Amino acid sequence: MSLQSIRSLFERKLTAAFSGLSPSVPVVYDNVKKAPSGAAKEYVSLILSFPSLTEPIISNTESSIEVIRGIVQVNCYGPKSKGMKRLEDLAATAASTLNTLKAEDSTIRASVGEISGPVNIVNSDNPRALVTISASFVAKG
Amino acid sequence: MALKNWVPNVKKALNQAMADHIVLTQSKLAQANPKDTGRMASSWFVGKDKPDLSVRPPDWSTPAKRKYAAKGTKGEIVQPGVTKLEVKEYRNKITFDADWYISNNLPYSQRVAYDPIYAKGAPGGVAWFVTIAKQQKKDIKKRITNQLRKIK
Repeated sequence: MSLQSIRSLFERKLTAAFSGLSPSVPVVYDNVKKAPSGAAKEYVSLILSFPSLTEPIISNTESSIEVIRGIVQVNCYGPKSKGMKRLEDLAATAASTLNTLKAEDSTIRASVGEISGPVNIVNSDNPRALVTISASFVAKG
Repeated sequence: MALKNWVPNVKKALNQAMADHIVLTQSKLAQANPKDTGRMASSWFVGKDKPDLSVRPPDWSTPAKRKYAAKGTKGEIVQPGVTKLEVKEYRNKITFDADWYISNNLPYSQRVAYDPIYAKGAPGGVAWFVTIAKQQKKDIKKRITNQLRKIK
């Protein structure tokens, strides 16, 4: 299991979930592409971090890391002054998708822990409103 | 070990674990915080049973001076700012039998904590706050276990 394969699991599932919405919402990954321009445009930014890579495991070889802990933060951006419904719907889509990652997909699964949020940040000078959710996870594979 | 000796030792271990956890988390937040003048990074305060709502003053340090070519533009830095970082030490005893808050009450702290647009250049990465907040349970568990192991 590599960090790339964990990223791939989150990115594929969340992109599929947000593509299925009407209208569909683009998902921006870490260091891949820029956020769409225009304050009226919605988008979702997915941030994954791995603060703790070394966990005790039972393994024959040192190279086979089987458990990786990480943090996922999903930021849902939308136009300001249009109410919270759409933004909270986006956050709910993200939360329900994260909960499906427990089921094994190819060789990896990610157990997402308690989800914090949705936290809304609408009082900033960012032209978009933001609702964010976050959770820790344990990836096994 | 007699039970009468064991109980105070456990209390002492729990107090130590809680004190380590609060102090280290406060400094971890200050270090990971994005810094310009250092006002926000210096405004993480520890409160017992209720949040300490104090903040550092607006003239905490000298911000960078910018020259703007036109209104609405980013501006060019003509004189760099001064970053001043001071973590306020909690002076009283930290014990396990209280609720502890580490808070930051600046009006912009929430957006810097959650919105990556405002967290550019943060030493702890764009998700610096969530990364620390989400590790709290694991960190305190580890600290309690380590302290309890020391009881002979």
